Amino acid sequence: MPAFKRDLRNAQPRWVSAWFCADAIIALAPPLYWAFDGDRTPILGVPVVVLYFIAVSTCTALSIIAAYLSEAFRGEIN
Amino acid sequence: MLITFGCIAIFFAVIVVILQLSGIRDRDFTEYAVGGRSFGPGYQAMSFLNTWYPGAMFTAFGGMAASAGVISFYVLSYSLLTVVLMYLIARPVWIWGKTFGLHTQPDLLALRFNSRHIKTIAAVIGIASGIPWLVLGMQALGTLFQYMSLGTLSFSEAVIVGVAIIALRQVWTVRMGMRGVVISDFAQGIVAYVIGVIVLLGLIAWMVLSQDITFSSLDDAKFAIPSLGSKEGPLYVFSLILTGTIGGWCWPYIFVRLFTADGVHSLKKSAALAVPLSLAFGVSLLMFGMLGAQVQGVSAAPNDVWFIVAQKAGGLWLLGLAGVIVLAASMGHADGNIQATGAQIANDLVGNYWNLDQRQLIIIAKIGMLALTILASWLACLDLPALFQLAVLAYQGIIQLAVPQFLGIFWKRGNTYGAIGGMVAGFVTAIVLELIYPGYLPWAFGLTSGAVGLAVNLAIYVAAAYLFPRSGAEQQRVDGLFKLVEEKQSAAFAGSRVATQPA
Repeated sequence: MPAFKRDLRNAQPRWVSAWFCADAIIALAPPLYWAFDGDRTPILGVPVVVLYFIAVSTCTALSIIAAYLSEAFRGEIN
Repeated sequence: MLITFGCIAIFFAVIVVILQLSGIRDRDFTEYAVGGRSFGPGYQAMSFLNTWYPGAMFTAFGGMAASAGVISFYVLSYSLLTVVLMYLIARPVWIWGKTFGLHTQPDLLALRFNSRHIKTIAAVIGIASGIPWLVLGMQALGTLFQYMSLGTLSFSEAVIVGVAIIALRQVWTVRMGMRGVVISDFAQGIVAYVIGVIVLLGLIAWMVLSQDITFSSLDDAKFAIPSLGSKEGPLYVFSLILTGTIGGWCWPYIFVRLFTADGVHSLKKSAALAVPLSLAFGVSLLMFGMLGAQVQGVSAAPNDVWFIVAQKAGGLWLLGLAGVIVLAASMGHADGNIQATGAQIANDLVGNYWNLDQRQLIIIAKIGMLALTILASWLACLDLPALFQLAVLAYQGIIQLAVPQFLGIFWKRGNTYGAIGGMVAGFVTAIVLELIYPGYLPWAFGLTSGAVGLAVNLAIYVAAAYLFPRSGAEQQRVDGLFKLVEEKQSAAFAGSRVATQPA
């Protein structure tokens, strides 16, 4: 199948879809947040468990910005 | 008191002047309900944030961070994940909305499932679920005005003042419809989240540098996330984030933002513009709350952490500014909620059974908004101890719209039987379980009632999709809807490729 046809089937580039899936996994997967339960080891004065939530949220925010920039750069949104 | 109430009065006057200067006239129902589908990314981003984060963020979630600690960060996780969802549904929803002249979320469900009754059911669930949050928002203003009065007003007197001010503000919402809401959201959003973040960072700096408050002096319980062996159960946080993420776009006043944009590009750009501010606001508010727990007086009244710390750090002027910030956020949520509900009453309930012209739709929407404002104002002045529980219950109920809404957008197979049956069964399951096991289900590893209801809902939707095949004509109609989105997308792709071809 030509690349153009593949693009038509998938609204997002594959790496964007993969990043969105990764956002959901790192935010929702119970074993991940269980691993940080009660971990107050400070990094620059901020406990690791707080940094975990900040990292998850930052990753999600960056994925949306990257998805938009990618689509806008290719001129594929209207 | 002159300083604090003076700040509130100046802010209120500025918002009214902005609305008056915008000189809005409601030409037709599309203009009134979705602002003529004319807003660019900046307005869209701020309007989403101002409706998404109500004033109660500063009291309820600031208070949760102060009293319970790091678990409060779940609100930030789902607030950003829900924007990912918006990014994914933006194209089909906007294209269907523009092509078929949709005004509300039930309009979309009626189009997708070819059913008039699903429109009524979705509208009733949406309206009933939104009222407790509107009342809660009005009551939260009680705390605000009690602090603004420096304790002179009793809580019940402060609630009445808050309700009177938010009700007065609705004069412009009723008159101007969605365009008024979005324009004022822009100004209110700048105050609530841009100035709000600056004040939050200043207060964090004050606590750390001047008061020697750090995370290290908090007790261990503030860093706990319910996991294996916890009281709530290991899936409690998973359930909170999951239901928050998919539930976000089930609220009618959030969903309608997808119809107010001037195109898919504006929607997607608004997502990219909103997330950095949402991230900065959420992180600073929740870190502020956790650190603020150590300020004298906060442990006894954690929900007041925003006002207590602001007053201690900056006196009456900062307290006044803190009040303006909470009022700005509260106005955005109340306006959006009331406007969307009024549009639903006209479009999805009355207009679903009587043939109304544009003028009649606008008049009924205005009457609906006025009635809702009066009802919510009256309820807010009553002593309703179970209201917060009702609001939590409402959240578990509203997310049952998610199955027909999201699967209807992305999967051709679903049908009206599964959509209505699943939604009703999921709603009833969630309410019954919530009444028996408020908060979380101990036998389901901490899942919330809404998550279990969602599983029931999904099972019925999928089963009905396979058990009750659609007629050929219906299949063709649904195929046509999906083809429309594909055609618009391929046109965009082709256009971009032509544009990037060398001459």
